[in-house]
Amino acid sequence: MNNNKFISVLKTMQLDKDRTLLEIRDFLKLNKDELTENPAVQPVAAALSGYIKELIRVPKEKRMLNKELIEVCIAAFQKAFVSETEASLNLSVNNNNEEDENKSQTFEDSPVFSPDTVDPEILTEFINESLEHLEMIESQLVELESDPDNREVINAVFRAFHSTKGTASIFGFENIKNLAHSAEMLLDRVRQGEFQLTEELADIALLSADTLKLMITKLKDLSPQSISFLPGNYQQLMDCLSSPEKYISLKQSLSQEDTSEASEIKHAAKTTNADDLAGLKGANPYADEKDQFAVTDNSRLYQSIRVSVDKMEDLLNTVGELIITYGMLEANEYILSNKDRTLTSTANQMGKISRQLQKISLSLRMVPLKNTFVKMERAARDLMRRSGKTVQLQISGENTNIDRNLVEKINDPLMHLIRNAIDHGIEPPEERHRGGKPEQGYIRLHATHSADKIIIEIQDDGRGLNLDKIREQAEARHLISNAQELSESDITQYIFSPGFSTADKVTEISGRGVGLDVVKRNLESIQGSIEVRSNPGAGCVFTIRLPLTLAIIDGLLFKVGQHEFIIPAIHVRHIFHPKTEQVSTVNLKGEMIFFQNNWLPIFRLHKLLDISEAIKEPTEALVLIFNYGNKMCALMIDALVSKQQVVIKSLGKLRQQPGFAGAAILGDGHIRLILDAAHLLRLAFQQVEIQSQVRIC
Amino acid sequence: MPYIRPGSRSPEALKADKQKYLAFFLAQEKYGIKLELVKEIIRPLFITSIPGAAQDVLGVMNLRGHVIPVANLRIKFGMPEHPFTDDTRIIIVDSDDGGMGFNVDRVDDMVFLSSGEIDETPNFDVAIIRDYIQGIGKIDLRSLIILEVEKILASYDLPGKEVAGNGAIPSIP
Repeated sequence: MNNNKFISVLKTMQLDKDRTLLEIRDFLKLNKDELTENPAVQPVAAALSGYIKELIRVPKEKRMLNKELIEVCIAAFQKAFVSETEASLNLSVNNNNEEDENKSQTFEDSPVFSPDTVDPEILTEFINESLEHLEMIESQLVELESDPDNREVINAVFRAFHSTKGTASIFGFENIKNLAHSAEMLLDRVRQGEFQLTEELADIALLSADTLKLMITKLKDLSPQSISFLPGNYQQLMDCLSSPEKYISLKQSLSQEDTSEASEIKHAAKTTNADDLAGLKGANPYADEKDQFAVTDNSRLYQSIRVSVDKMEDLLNTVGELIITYGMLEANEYILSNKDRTLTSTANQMGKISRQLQKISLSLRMVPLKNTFVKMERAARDLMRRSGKTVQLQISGENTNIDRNLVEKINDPLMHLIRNAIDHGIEPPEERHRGGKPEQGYIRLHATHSADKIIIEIQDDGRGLNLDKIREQAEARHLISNAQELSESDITQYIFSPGFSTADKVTEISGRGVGLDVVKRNLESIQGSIEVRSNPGAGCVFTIRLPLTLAIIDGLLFKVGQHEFIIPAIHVRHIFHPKTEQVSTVNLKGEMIFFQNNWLPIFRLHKLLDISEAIKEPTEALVLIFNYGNKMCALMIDALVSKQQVVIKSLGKLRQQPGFAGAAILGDGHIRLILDAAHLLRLAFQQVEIQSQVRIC
Repeated sequence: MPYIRPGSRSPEALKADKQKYLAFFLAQEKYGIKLELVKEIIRPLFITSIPGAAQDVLGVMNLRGHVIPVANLRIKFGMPEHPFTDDTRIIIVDSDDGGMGFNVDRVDDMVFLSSGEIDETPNFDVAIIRDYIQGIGKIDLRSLIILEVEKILASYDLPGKEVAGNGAIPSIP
């Protein structure tokens, strides 16, 4: 809400509209610092704040209008805001005068973006991402027209604007950020049920999306003009967004009259002083703009195309088939025994090309997290500069390979979490000082390839989560009842609910609690998960788990009875034939093995999986020393076959099958199952527990 | 050129009202499933068994790079097992999570039936299979037991921690 909006809200304040009251309260809270600095406003602001709080507390029918106070407030605020605007105008004029400030013309804040410093790759990413969001908005809005009450869709549109705002704000694209913010606010009001999403509102939202698209596409120029570029309809659109009521009532009154003159005005209302606005809805002028972009296409931009997951999968599957078919050809007796050298060398050549092809197609999908992490580093630096906090971002595990498709999807969530950590997690330097922490905050971004998941952790040493506040909010939103007893970790999970926020201060960097629900949803859409552990006063850790479904792992292929399985090599510490003296039993049941000065439990895989015909004698078998988290144990198998890289595939309908994380197709064209390491260990330890319970009885 | 009586509808038009079914044999009984759900019909491929899976789940096979679970309908319906023969086929049925295969003794034909030609299942004691029968169709005085593929597929959904399907977006409460 901007200042003008605030005044208009005050003027039209209705006592029975909780939403308006909350808005006023939030505005006062948000601008507390500035308001208290201004001696002319401070007393009225305090009085107003007290009055509003009072109003919110009492039931609607008992609320009393304090007209006098409101009028005093309006007068005082108006005066204050006017002088403020003047001051900021002067400031921006000054900035323009300085030649080296080539990125100016923003409304507030100092810009962080300049064409010389921005990484073209990051910018491309931003452009592509935002355009995707905007396209999504378009399709969703169209859907909304047929089903205006679909909250799911409203939420989706809202989130898309929110994400656009978030990233634009990181780059310092103020104009884009402001527009996206206003659009988001509009959708928020729809979401809160303040208005119905009428056709007119949908039009405004669509127009906003189009305008944003235009502005974002323009960024490809990489020129200072492109950053300060304002479409002709920008200001008008902003007005529409901030007071849709006016716009709607105008439209309604017009449609009632329904004269040709009125429809002209109606048209004008949409398009005054904005020739290109017409173009946004119609085809031509916009197309012209586009052509222009094509011509000025900048070679500094990273060239890439987006390919759908399905196509990529198809390619990989087909290449896999090619390799297998080639293997069959190679093993063909006729070809093996033939004397024709050309045939042999052609076949060899084909083999090489096929393998090369496979390598390329695999590498198409796998990328190290490095680029993503570097992006985070950069974003963190920019955020730090704006928030006035100093934070050290430590990065590790950036060489963990991850499926390209997953990388694209984790960008936004990671960005959100880093933003949150800097903005909400890390305390201001003074507070850190008081708490006995070093003034410089610390954030750790760490990736590993563990168990059957890729794990990314974002840890900060900030203030941690405020459990009481979360509980309070959850209760206020009726997510839990007052009496309900919940563990700390249960309570913390509520921060992932839609619209949840415990931040008192809404900043432009991270918003009103929509963040974490977006994060969670994005991760869930790629079968990932997120959880948080918090240590009040000492910070919190967000743990993201991503599935292996699309990933490639180093696997050990081994035999148990007639079966062959794959286990991720990363879990296996050691493999050996145990000697008789290394193995012993407890109570004739629990088997143990002596390994590196420790007695570890032995689990017979054939027993865990109920496979007959396996080797029963430990000294004839092989044991894998198996590592999961901080636990270790020995798994007994028959024999090792090979070590190889495998592409993990889902078991489809049977993906919940206990004990297995997926499957891989090997060179012989047959499938091998991949053991779910974590689950196996759980099973194994459960068995021990049962045994020990039996013993106690 | 077939003769079409004036005023009558062409065979195509008649067929358009009807639903297409794929008929196949399981232990001499004729079964049918909606053809639109059938992705393809293949000869048996190598099947990798899955320890601990349901008894009727034969395992998974590699269908051109896709991992497809295969189940044995004979076992599922409590019929005696039968080794694969030259006639054995695997019917691949489409589903959101990548499809699934079912082996059948022999694939018969495509059958057109309108809803009027499908009777309700008589109330006899066939507890295992009853849940999966949509109705009994009649063609040429022979019965065609029409199976509800969706229900059969759903019976393989295991309860698990990650309930969300492939890319399925859970709704916001």
